[in-house]
Amino acid sequence: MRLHRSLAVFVLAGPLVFGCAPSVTVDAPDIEVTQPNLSFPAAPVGAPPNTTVTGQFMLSSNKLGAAGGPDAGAFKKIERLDLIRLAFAADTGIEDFSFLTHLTVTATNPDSLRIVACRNRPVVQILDYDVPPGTGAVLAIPMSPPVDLRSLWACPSLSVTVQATGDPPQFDWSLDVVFSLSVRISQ
Amino acid sequence: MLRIGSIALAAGDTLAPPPFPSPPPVVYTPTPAPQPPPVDSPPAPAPAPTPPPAGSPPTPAPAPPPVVYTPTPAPAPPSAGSPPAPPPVVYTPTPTPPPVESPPAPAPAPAPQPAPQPAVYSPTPAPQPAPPPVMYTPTVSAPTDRSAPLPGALPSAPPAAPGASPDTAVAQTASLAAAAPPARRLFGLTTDLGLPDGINLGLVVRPTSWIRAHGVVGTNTASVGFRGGLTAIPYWFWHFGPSITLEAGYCKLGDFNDALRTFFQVPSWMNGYVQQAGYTYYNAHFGLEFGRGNLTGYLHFGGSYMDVKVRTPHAVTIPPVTGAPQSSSDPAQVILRQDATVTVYTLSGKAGIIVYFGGL
Repeated sequence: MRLHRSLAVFVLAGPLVFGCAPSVTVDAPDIEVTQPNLSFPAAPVGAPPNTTVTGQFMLSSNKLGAAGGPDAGAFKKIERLDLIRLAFAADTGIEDFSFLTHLTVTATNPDSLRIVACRNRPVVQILDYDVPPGTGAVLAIPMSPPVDLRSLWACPSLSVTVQATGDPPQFDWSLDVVFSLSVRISQ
Repeated sequence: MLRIGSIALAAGDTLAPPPFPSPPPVVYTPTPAPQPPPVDSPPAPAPAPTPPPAGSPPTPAPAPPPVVYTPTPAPAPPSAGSPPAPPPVVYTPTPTPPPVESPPAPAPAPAPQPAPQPAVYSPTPAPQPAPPPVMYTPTVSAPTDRSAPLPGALPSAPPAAPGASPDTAVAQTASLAAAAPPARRLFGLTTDLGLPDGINLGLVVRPTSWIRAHGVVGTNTASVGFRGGLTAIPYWFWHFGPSITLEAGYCKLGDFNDALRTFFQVPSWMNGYVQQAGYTYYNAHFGLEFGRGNLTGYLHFGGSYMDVKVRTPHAVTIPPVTGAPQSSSDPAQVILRQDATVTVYTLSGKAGIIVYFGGL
């Protein structure tokens, strides 16, 4: 009887110990990545309407859990990396975005001499948006459906380009770009 | 003439059953006291018993004198002309037989036939009521809370019999105490240390010998936590026993400090984001219990499911990539607008001790 009871204990305990390999899943439904003070050059004097100016910045996606980064650790399985919202906020030189008619945002991984997988990466279009007239100081654009950015997270850095089309001011100005991401990473 | 065996019946005879042999009546015949024979003469031979008359039923062998304790009223004195009836054979147990009184010296029997000598004929003046049976009824001195014993608890020792010496009562109590199992203690105080529980202090309730429940409060060094659970110990081998424990606990949201970073390691890129954390956890452990007296220690090991809430109240700065053409020199900032959820299945364990201090 003792033996039977003891065996029952260990039969029940076995799966608890050996069947529970450590497993971690991180689910962050709303991570906000802000790139402040993205500068745009002044439009030339006498430029025609619908002139396009470009701003560019780079992010170290290593610090955002890029699977290919050295700090990725055991979290190499990115189950979800969606851009759920993109927002622009007027910063220096402008009061609002009433001068804009169109916005385009693209992203890519810059060429890397060290990582073969990060050479000649495709350019992913994130946003192609017609700005409604009379837009104020903040332009928030929900992404529906969300944009899958997982292909961009295989490399340690990310290059983002913002093209603003309209009647831009004839002086330097800047804005803040806010990416809202929904991430699920597991081991 | 009808012959049946040795009996011949003539016409007109009445067929009657033969008389039933009955014990000979005890006849008190005054007999002279036996005179000692003269010294010089040889002892007289014992007289032969008188043969029964012919035709009378055979006389059974003389029965030994009955010992009769008859708590009956005093019988009437035997009449001089009739022999006294044989006393009824009644065995009435009496705790204390009446004092034996010697009957008056019987007169010497004229016949040499040895008459049965009744041992005692002692009519008691009145029947004595039997004493009540001796009953050992445990008495409760006062209605206290401890009057209801637990199942298996030591019964109250019966009071010593009247007249028993104090030494007898003490010896009786001591022997019962030595044979009784140790008193079962229902409540205890416990403390333990482990992961993901932290360090805790709480109460234990042991409703039966093989299961116990506990509720503790403690800290994981960052915040206050609570935990409750059940432990089943199916059997004890000497002072050891295997156990299964199921628990659920909660640690409030608190600043994720270095102590927690030591035990809950996360990738380096994630360190900055885990600024505050709180978690609910469920443990399923097997373990080893070791107990002696009112102390029980335990080691538990198994798996845990953790539902961790991570909050980032302060933005994390991501330094810009150096050497790349870009339109901003300011670093990017990252913040969690909603709490992140970290689900963890991991190995866990703890060690603890219980001190049982009382019962109902």
